[in-house]
Amino acid sequence: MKKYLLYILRLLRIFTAIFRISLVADLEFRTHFFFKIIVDIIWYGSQLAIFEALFCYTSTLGSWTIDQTRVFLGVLFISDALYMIFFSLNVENFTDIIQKGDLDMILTKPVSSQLMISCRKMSIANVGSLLISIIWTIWAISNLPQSSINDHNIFLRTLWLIILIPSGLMIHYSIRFMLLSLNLIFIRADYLQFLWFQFYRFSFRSDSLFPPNIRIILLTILPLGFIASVPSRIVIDPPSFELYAMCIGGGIGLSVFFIFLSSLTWNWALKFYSSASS
Amino acid sequence: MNLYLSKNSNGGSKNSNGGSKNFNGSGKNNKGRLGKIFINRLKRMIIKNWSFAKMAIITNMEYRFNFFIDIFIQPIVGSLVELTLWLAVFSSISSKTIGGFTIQHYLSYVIWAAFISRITTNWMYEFKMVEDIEKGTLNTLLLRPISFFETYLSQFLGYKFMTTAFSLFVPILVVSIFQWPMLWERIPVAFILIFYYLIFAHLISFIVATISFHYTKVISFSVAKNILLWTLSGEFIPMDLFPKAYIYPILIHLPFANGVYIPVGFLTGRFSWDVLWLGFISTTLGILAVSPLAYWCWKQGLKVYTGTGA
Repeated sequence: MKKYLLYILRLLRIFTAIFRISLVADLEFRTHFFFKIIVDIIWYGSQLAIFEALFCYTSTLGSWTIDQTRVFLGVLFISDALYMIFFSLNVENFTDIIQKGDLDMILTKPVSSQLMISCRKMSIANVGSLLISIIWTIWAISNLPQSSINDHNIFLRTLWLIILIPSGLMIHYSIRFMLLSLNLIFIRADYLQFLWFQFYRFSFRSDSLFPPNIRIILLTILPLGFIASVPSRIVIDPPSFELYAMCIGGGIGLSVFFIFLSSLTWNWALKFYSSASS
Repeated sequence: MNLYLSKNSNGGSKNSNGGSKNFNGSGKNNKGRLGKIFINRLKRMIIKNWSFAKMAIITNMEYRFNFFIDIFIQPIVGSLVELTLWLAVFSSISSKTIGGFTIQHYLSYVIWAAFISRITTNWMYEFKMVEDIEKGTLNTLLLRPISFFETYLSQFLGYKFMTTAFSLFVPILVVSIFQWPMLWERIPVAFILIFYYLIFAHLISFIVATISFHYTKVISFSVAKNILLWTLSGEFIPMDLFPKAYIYPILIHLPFANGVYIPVGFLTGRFSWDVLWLGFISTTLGILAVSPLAYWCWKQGLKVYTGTGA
């Protein structure tokens, strides 16, 4: 037990150091820092505009109303902001790290190489986007019809998001990381990253919008539905056994499984790595 | 555009001097001689630009799998996501039409929009221009007998021409199989507008790239610009779904609408020829408005450029 506590404390120290270094680095380019927040606001605005325009013509979309869809979008924005903070900068430089031989240095450090390569830089500017997303989500939840707020203890159930959003984030990260690991084998696997962005678009929509066959894929093999769609359900949909089973068993269980799978993939792919500029 | 042809103009001035010897001759001869000079210069310009366009085609064909993903898989997956959205929208409403158009109109729009937006988006050459300025490799390009603007415009057009030639059959095939609305005779004119719009798109990219003369990191500007263009071009949803009283009339008059909405709407029969002509006019006005700004940004950038890389 003490061993695990020490390990967690060590991780916290590492993350604090990474946060400090990243903050200093980010503030060096102040225009870029503020523009990053603006980029996110533009992206949020474009996603909101699509649904606001669509709901001018229909009252429900895949069983959700405009108020419920706003909650879903809020959860999606939070998950995206967290991904941007912790992983975006690192995954963008992944190919370069391998090609320039910087991975050699990372492999020699006394910390998990997967952790180091995935989290060695943070995008602090996106903390601003995260705050905006959280405020939007709280506003969207408080705007849900009064009946669903009173009937289903919605604010208590909102607390589930503290677990479910990070679970979805881990699934998102694991899939991306597994694809990136293939760079060790194929050297230039940029095309897989481009392809990933297209598949990632499935998470921008509620899983209930998709036909049953695609929906099954999005909740099992390629569980993009757990990034925002399933976590939103815990707040939006009436509580039921199936819902909790899907959130806890599916969301949390799959995130643990995918993290494990990403670690296996990384260790396997490392066997193909033949040092600098390979 | 001619604002960026300063180097060609210098090259051309030799011919003009040569031509001045004959100014004693008749006006008719002079006109003929000037015409020849103009044609020669034009020929030279086309040959130079064509060689860069060819280079872009060859370079991109080198990584065939990347190319295959870029022009086929990405738009296919993207359109699949959007198709499901529209199927869900129509299954949620009691009416058979939205904004006066049937589900087939929307499905046809989605499939065409996915492919045409791949053609009108400019990431690669914008990043290359930024990289040249940031790393100082712009020095070598400044010594070439072709301007920086033209170098990338010809590569951009060459690459997009190839993308169009290879990927066009996918939406045509899908639309034909499912018999979704499509006006075949409109394809050539719609693509003339798309390629005309590419000049405007490149000008915008050029302006974004010149920001890197002053700031080290401009990727966020690029991303912001592209997200705005996607939204304003109608890639996500047809613009006629936006409120008709105030948002739609503004969006349709902006040149950005020519990136997706106007050519796709024209192809799928959402509107008549009038809107297409409006598209040509707004693109022309867009180019005229943005060109001086691009030229000014370039000149301002060169003043602070040290040639050593950031």
